[in-house]
Amino acid sequence: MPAIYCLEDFKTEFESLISDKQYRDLESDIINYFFSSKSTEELCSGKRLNATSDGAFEFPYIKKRFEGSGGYRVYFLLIKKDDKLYLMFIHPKTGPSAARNLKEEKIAELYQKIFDNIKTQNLFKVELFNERLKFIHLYDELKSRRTYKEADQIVNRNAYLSKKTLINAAGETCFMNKLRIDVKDGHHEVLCELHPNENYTGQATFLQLDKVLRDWWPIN
Amino acid sequence: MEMSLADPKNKIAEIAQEVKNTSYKEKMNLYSEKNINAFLDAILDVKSYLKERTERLNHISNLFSEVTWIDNLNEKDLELIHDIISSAKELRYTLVKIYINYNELKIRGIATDEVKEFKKAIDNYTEDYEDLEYIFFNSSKNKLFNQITTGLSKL
Repeated sequence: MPAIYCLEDFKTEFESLISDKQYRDLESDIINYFFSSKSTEELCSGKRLNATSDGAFEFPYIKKRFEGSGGYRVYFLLIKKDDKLYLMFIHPKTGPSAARNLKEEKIAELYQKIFDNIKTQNLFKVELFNERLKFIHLYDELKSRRTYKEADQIVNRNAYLSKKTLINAAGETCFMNKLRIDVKDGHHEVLCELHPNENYTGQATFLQLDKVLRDWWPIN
Repeated sequence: MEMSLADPKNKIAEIAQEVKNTSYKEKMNLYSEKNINAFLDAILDVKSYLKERTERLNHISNLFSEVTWIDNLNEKDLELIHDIISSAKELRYTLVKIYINYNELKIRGIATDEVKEFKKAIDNYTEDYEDLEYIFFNSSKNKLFNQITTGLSKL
């Protein structure tokens, strides 16, 4: 079974729906489908929205219809090589929050968003806890990391960020030179070295990676 | 006074007798098992017809989904998919007409669930061929999706 993550869009919609009695079956529908030990291949069912793209075989973007009373439509991405699944959006087709099919622009926007958020790790990990779904933001998970091995995994996971220019919401840019692991208050934390530009040779600034990931995005 | 057979008033008695006999027979028929069974059989036939159509439609919807999992499509394949979508649109027109006819029964409380399921199958079927059209023939979306999928492979 792949590791399951989600966009905030999915979490928000899910939490809004299950607060309504009409959609109380939603959580069990998701658990039964995604948390029932299905292999990545078995989850390749529904319609593959990126069928015409090169590489769609490895990265299927799927729209799945649940045949329950709510007639939910779930949008998700599978990354087969990493055995990971990313829930992107959900909406019912019946009941008070029934929605028409997603507009084409929204389907494309979600695909762009999941790509961007995988890069910045702005995602929630979805786990099963006492037969309920539990959402943990990866930044929070990052904060709770303690061991060197775990910090090293974070470095590896984000290695693609080094040698990249980052941009923030204000349009300011900076250059990330490398990642390093430090010990602070007995815990291992991941720091990244930031320069004003690629050719800068002066004093480096080191900031916590999770803080940087909150505000900055890679642009190359 | 004795009534002769030629008396037109005798005709009234004959008519009265005929109406009486017919009324009795029809009342008996109204509640006869044979007629009720024939009526119930007709309802079952309608239900069976709708179920069969619903299953057929759901099967076709599944086939539409399967098309999206075929890789390495060439121009000829895309032309065929285009034909599938055109035929699907024509079929929908017929299906909606069938639904309108059978919806009259639903309004009268006959085959309610079957008509509802049939309507749901038509809606799903429509959604599925519209999705096919979006997946294969929206060129601006295909360009963007190609870029993103390539980007994913480089992460």
